[in-house]
Amino acid sequence: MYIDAVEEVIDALGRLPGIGPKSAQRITFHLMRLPVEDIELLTSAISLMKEKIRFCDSCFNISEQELCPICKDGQRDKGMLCVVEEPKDIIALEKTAEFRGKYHVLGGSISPIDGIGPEQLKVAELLRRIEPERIEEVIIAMNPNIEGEATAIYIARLLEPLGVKVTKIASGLPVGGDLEYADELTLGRALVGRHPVNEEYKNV
Amino acid sequence: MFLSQLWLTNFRNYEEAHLNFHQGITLITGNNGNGKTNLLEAIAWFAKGKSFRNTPNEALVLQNKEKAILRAEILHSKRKTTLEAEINFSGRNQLQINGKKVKSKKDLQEKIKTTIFGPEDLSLIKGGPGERRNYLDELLIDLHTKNQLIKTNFEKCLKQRNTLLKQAKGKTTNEIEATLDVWDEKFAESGQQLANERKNLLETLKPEIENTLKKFTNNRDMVLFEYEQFWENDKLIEALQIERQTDIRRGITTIGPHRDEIAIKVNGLLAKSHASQGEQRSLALGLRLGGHELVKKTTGNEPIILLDDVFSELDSTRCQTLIELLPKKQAVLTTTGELPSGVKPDYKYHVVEGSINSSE
Repeated sequence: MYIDAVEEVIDALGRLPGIGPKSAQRITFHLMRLPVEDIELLTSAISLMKEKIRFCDSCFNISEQELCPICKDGQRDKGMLCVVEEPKDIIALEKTAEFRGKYHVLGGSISPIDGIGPEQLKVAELLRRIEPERIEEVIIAMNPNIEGEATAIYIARLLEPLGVKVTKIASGLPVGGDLEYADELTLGRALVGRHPVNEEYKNV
Repeated sequence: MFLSQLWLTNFRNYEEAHLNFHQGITLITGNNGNGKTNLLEAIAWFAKGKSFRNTPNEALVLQNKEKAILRAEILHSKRKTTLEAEINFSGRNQLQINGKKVKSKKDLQEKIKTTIFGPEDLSLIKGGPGERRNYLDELLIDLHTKNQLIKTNFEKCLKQRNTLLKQAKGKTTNEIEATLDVWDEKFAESGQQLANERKNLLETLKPEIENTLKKFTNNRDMVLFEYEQFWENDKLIEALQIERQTDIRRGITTIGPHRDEIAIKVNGLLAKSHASQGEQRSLALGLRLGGHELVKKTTGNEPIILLDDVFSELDSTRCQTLIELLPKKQAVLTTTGELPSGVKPDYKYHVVEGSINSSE
């Protein structure tokens, strides 16, 4: 329909997550109208990012140096380690400001269908951190689906013999939401995971 | 609840069609291949979220069209609800209730339920165990939509475990054993849950089926329904471990709810191999009507009965009994030939090559 040069941009943009064919077309036409300097700003920002970004040697979060800012931060609680699937999960957890320990990014979850086994994940690297860093508690924060749960079991079994406390984040109702809008599974789990009210205000 | 109107656009051989429905019996006549069953398929699509004949989307959309649209108006006491399904040739289906998008077919299933009788029902008795497991699983979902999640979870675990076994290529390493341990646990957890739901259902279903069967057969045959699992209850995980080497060698999960059987015995003999064709038809009808009664009792909502050309397969006494058992609420029947004398449809439609004439 379009000349090749245009079609190629639409095609490339359309491969990005969250961008459908219509959006890809709209963005392409917007880009066409931009002055050359703006285009250069965008393309160089992207290539610079690709050049500079690497993974942290210790936790495999995205980083500009050998160690990411969280791993370098001396103020962090050294005994606590939170295991997540992707770097973007760290951002979500950091926003809570509830966790002051360090992280470990596995790079996904165990899913034979997608060809991902433990050897494709940073599991061995996780085990190697426990003793030298004197980790006392590992918090598993995987996505609440079957693959995430299977991965959690797998890691917990490997960590147990190392004498470290292993916990998993709770699943339940979103804060500020309405009970009636929760799906059956979430509500069911929230019921199973109920706890005495007294404990709640003691912690506050 | 009953269906009051149905619209079809580019569905199967219908370019554009509209039908009014009422309570009582609606009869659809027409020659073979003119689209009678397609109308039943359209009604059942809302209740199943797919074709009851398991036809893929591509075959549901009229040739050279991108999508088919089905719309149904449901009356519940005097409340009107409109259901709409956009079936795309490729890509996701879009579902709406009262003009508002809904995410899952579960939402539609809560609004409309159907019980389908068809000539292929005989395979419930004659066919493999999969037919009977499917029958129970579909009924589970009709009874409570949350059961869909239980089934999906189990199927996901089964698929993951099987893929892992295939990747092992007959050999086992520590890595694979450790990963299998984890999937065994998830498989056992979800499998036990599904098997329990099936067994509970079969227990409550038995009296309903026996009741309907009594009306079909005068003789006092002892009919037995048994849920057979080839693993000890609550010990699925142990069973998986015992079978592990076999599973690895064969590259597939050889034990679990996906291999369970619902054995149907008449006077101690398996109906599948020992019952006569006539007895098998009665049993199949018994399963369908029993399920229908149970859904009616538990949900308080009587499913719409869809009878797809079943009279031609039954002798006249069985036809008569079936008609007497037909609920007063709503039934839609198709037939190519003559109706048995006792059937007096309240409304009639005649279809000729995808166009519909109201004949009364």
